[in-house]
Amino acid sequence: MNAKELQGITEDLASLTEIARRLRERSGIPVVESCARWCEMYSQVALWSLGAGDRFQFMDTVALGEEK
Amino acid sequence: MNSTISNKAIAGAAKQDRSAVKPLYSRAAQASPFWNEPLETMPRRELDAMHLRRLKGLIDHAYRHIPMYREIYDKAGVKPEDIQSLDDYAKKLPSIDKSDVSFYQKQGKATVPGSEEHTTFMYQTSGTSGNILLEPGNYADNVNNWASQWWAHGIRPSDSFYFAFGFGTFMAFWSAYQDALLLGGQIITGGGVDTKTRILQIQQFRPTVLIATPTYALRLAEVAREIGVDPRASSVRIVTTAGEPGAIVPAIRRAIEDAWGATALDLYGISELWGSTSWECPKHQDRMHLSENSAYGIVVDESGGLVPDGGKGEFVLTNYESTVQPLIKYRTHDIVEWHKAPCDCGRTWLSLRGGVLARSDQMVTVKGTNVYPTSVQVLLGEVRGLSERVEIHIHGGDGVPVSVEVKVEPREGVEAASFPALKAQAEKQLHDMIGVSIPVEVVQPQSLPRYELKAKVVFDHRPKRTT
Repeated sequence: MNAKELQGITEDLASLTEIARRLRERSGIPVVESCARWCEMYSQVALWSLGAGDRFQFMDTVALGEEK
Repeated sequence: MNSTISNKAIAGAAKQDRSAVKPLYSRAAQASPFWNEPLETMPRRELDAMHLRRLKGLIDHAYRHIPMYREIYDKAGVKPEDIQSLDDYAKKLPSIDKSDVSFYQKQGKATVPGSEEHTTFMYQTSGTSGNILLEPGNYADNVNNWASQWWAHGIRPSDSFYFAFGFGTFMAFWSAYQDALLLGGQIITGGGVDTKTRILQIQQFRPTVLIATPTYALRLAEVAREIGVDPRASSVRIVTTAGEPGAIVPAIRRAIEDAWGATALDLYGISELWGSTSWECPKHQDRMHLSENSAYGIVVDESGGLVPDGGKGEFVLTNYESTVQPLIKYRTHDIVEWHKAPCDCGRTWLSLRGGVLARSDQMVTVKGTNVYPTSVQVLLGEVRGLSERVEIHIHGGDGVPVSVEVKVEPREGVEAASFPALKAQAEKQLHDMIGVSIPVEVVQPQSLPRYELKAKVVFDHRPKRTT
């Protein structure tokens, strides 16, 4: 696999993570938010597995009441 | 209809329908010898750049959000911005130990405050080496380590996994269970049934992969033979183990492979690190690769100084897996020999020759010589005629010189008349290799206790210190 193909996969995963995040935060439907959360988490894991992304980002939204 | 017929019927139906079902993986993925080729083969310079980026992010996150780290780093006078290189990480950042985590856990300071909703699992350590630690984590925290190993060793979604494990609060094979799901294999959970029932289940379900501790894999085979079942004739083609030294120790590999007529795989895990594991190289049975997707590892000497590439010392790990309770620069007390050169299996991930060679906290000094129980076990395994079942007893203390004695079972079929010669060979082997005299008793076959999870190998009879 060349660098360009890998870059494409990374970008798709980042888009998938973002779409899943939007669904999780905005749908208002528990079953959708739950499934979207799994999608978001695992696409983050895939991104992380390729050496990109941030595994701890989601925790920052809850920690110590810190404003983002 | 009995369940065996039912299973055959199901298997037959599945076979007929196979052409109508799309495979789980593409042809390219199926054929890949890597679970994650981009990272498993990443050049060291790029890997190190990735580690530095991850470590800086994690240290900053931990300092800002986890009281344990803020207190430890403040006490040491270190701020996240002081860590600008891997050398800074090795030299400036304080390491933490199990006792630190235990101390801060009791005060509720070891995890990110407010992370309760993200904690989807709560496990605990087995207690092998003292304090039991809680292991809070998220469902996505502990994935890919087992899968990386299994894929490298040719396990595919067509395989079925039998878990000879009770699925309690000890994490152990829960992580393997998650990875079997991720990989797409069929999972058969043995659960809390007795050993005989597990053997019957293996006969009924015909798994291709058996998952157990090395001790229990051997116990299963032993009980199978007792009830007239030949484990070598079973469907099991791979025995994949963790929890204690396994196939990386030649005597244990030989015992498992002989018992099951299957390939033995070893994985080195530390449950509180949530999958910061190393696993057996598919090309070299004498080494393990650290999953650098999950962890960054360095090797240090007794004073905490970095050991050069190729040297031996204590393995210190930072895991990237646990989002709820990350452990940064965690002392494992496991002695390893590390090599950074790329392996000819194609991986660039760190190699640990011989896996875990010893535990630093189990070292005893006999007549001025350091003796590691694990080394004793490995050396005895090289004596033909001795089995892997060993007990190491430590005596002395309080003014009495420390001494070590060993009990070992012979291999099956060895005549009692050979015991004195075996004893002499074993004692010579230990003396030649370690440099001190260690008495060895060759005990009757089947006389040492059998265990259901991990074997107790070291018995320390020295007076306990209370301070």
